[in-house]
Amino acid sequence: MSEFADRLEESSEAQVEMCPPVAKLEPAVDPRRMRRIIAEDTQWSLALVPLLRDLCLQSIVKNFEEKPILNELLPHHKTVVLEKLSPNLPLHITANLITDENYWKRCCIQRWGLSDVSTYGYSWKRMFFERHLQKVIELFIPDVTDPQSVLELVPLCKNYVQKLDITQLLPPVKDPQKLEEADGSDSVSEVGFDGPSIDHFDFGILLNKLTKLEELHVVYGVKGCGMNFEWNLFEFTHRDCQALAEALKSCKSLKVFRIHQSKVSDEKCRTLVSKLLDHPSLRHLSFSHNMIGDRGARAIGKLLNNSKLEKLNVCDNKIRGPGARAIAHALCSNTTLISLNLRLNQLGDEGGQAIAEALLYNETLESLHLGANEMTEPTATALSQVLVQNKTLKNINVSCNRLGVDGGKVFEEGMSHNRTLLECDIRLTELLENAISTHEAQVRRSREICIKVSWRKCLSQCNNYRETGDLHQYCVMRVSTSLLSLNRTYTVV
Amino acid sequence: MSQAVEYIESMKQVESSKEVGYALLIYQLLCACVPLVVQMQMCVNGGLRFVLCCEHDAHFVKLAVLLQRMTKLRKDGTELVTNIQVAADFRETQRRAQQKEATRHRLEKLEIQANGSLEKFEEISKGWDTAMQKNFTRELQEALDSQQQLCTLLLEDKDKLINDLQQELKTNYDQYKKDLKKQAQDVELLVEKMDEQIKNLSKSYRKELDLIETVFDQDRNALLSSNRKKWEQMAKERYDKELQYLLQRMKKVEEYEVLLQQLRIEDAEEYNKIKIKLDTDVQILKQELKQLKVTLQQNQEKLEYNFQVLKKREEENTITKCQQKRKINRLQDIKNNLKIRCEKQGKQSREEYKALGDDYKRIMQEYEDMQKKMRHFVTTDARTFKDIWLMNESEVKELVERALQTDRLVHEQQLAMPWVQPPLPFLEGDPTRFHGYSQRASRKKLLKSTRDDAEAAAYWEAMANIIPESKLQIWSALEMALEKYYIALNDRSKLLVETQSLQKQNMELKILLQQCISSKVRGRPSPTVGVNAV
Repeated sequence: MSEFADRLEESSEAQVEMCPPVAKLEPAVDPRRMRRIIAEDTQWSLALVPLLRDLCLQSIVKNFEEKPILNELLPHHKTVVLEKLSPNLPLHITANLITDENYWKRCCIQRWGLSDVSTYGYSWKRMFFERHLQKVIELFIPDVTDPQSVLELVPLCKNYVQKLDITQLLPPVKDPQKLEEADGSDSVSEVGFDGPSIDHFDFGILLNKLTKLEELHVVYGVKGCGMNFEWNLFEFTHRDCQALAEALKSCKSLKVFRIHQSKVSDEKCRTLVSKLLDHPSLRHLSFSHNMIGDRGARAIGKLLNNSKLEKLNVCDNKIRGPGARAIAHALCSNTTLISLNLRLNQLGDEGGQAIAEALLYNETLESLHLGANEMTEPTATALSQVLVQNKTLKNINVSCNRLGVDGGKVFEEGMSHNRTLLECDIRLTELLENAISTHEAQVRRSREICIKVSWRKCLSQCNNYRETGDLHQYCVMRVSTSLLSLNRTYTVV
Repeated sequence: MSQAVEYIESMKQVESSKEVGYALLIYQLLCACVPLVVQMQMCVNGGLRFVLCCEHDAHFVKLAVLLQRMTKLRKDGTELVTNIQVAADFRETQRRAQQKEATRHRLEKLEIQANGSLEKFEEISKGWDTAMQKNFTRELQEALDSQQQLCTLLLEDKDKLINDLQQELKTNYDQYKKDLKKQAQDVELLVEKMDEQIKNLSKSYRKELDLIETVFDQDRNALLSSNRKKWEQMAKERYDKELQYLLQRMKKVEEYEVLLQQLRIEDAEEYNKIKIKLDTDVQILKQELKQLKVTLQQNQEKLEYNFQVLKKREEENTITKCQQKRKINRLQDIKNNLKIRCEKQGKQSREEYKALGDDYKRIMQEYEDMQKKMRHFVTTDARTFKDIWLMNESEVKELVERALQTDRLVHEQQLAMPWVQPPLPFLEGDPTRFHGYSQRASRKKLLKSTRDDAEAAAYWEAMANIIPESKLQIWSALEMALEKYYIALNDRSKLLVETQSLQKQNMELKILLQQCISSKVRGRPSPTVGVNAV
């Protein structure tokens, strides 16, 4: 018997010698070896040996940079790999390969800590790429940073970036000599010979490639400059303006554009508007906190009827009566604009009356903000007329205007005829106390009317719900959501 | 209150249409700020029923009040927060107005100043002219002094203006700093207020939630208690009913026991009767059994015999079967052979048929050939016939001529009678008359052969009978006479021969005698000579 065993051993050894690499690689294939191991170690069991599958997955994770294998894997293996992948992997590998939200969540948290994903459409990937691109652009220094570094990102992030909120744009670094010159002649030479050298990042190379970009917020200025303040850190040059305008024209998917605190003057406003005329998708436009005057306002008025704008915000500019008149003229025939914000301008009574007159004809505007516009009694009279006739306006704000007691009375009378207005802000308008209280009652009544409308809507909703049968749940839900909707419709007087 | 009435009416409509959840109603009531509460109940048919209760249900009232407070809270909060913004806006407008005013003021001031200084400057420049006209140093000195005084005055004015402006700038700067500080404070305040409001709101939301929960809890408890009550009532009913059923059951059990006893007695009697009857039956059956056994024995024997017989028959049968089988096999073989042969035969016959067909064709061919040949031969025959005819005719004519010649010779030489030439009509006939015949015969296939034959026979007969019967008789008589003459001549010749031989014998004998006379001289005669002599 022993002889037989010897021979067996010999033969097996001979086999091993014949093909040594295979035998070494897979000792488990030879059952005798397995037995031997068990004999030597009583603690040994198959469970101690890592599965080949796990080893493979580990190897894939380890070598992901050289050889990204992901979509070929089974779903549960895929999750294992994604859990183990490092968030530091180069973007050109991961960007278009990994769609898993958890991976991108880890990337985001590693870079910026916890953040609110709800503002990014609940997509961590979108958040990652938007913030990444924003950061790259915000830290872009013209003539120093290679534009290629931005362009390289484009194919990676163009499918995910929908919104860009650029909070600062760095000016080019200047040599000390020029710096002195600039110091000596800050505001005088701002547009002059120093112009070309302080151009910012050119959006033209980027916007036409981001096919899903819908929202763009830009500030031509430096954030947190502290004691290093210089005027030319906050310059918006003509060339910048030209480039931006061209870029905006080339970006066909843009819906929201906001440029604020960027010293947009009349000329620049006209340049921008001329390129935005007949833009296929632009809905919201904001020029808040700039220096747009009447000529710029005229251009904006032209834009209103040559685009699909629904929301226009020109608060804190220098629009006066003539500019307001131009906007009002555009409003007369406009059928798209829903919200108009003219806060902190200098419309005066001329502008206020023009706007009010336009509202007699307009049938789409729902929200109007005329706060802090140096308006007085005549405007209040005109607006009261609007309140009587207009059936679409839901929200009007005339705070911080000296309407005076008489103006308040007229306004109140107009309000008593109105059935559609939901919110009316008349704080700091020097009305009388009792006028305010009656006004509150009026506004409340108009709100009740609105509630009646929503009552009918709710009826149909509830009917739907009753069919599903979960009434109790619904009651709880409904009570809390109703509070929200109440909040929305409530008026502050 | 009129609002409330309106709502109640609308709710009545809802009740009839049963289309709305009650949370909505609460919402509506709260919006109307009416301390009215609606309760919802599930109807039996699954629909909703609304019950209006005016301040009866404390919880609902509480809830309503709370929600009212909530809305107020939110309104106040929003107002507080926006107040800051509005105030800032207001301040900003005020600041701007002030700035505008200040700028205007400054510009005015500057203009006045500029005008004043311009006048002074003109005065000074005029002074220079007057100074230039002064010739005396003293006067010049005075003029220059006054000029200097004026200049310093002007410079002082300017300095003052610069100082004023710088002062203004400083105050503005301070103002700006103050504004910044104020704005920072505002922002802080804003944030603080927002935080506060969020806190308040969340607190009140929690409260509201608690309240809602308690309300629903209470609702649930009420429902539970009512259900429990119902349950207990039902349980009691069930208990009573069970008791009743138990009593009924016991009564029935007793009845059934009496009945059972009776049944038992009856059954026992019946059993006995049946037992006796069955015993007798058993006896009879035993006898029958015996008989059956006997018959069985007989039958068995018979069957055994039959069995033997059948066995033998079977053996025979097997043998015959074997034979039959063999026969069948053989017949089968034969049949197969016959089949094969039949096939062969068929094949053969087919071949034969084919061969015969070929033969037939060949024969037909031959037949045609024959016909052709025959036609050929007919013509040749006709030709030969004609030739032979002509030949025979000439021969016969020769013979006739010879016969006539002979007859003439006979008449002239033997009988020495004058010979008269018999008529010879046919000799003058057309020697070619038979050519047509032969041709016709060949053409018309001997249709007139008989007539021609008869003609020919007559022709030939005439030829044959050229020597008449009388002449023949003469000839026979002549022949006979000649015969006799011949015979006489023959006899004479014979006798002549005999005499000649006898003469010869005599001669010989004379020689022999001579020899014998000569031999007797010498001795003995020769035998051979003796025989020859015989």
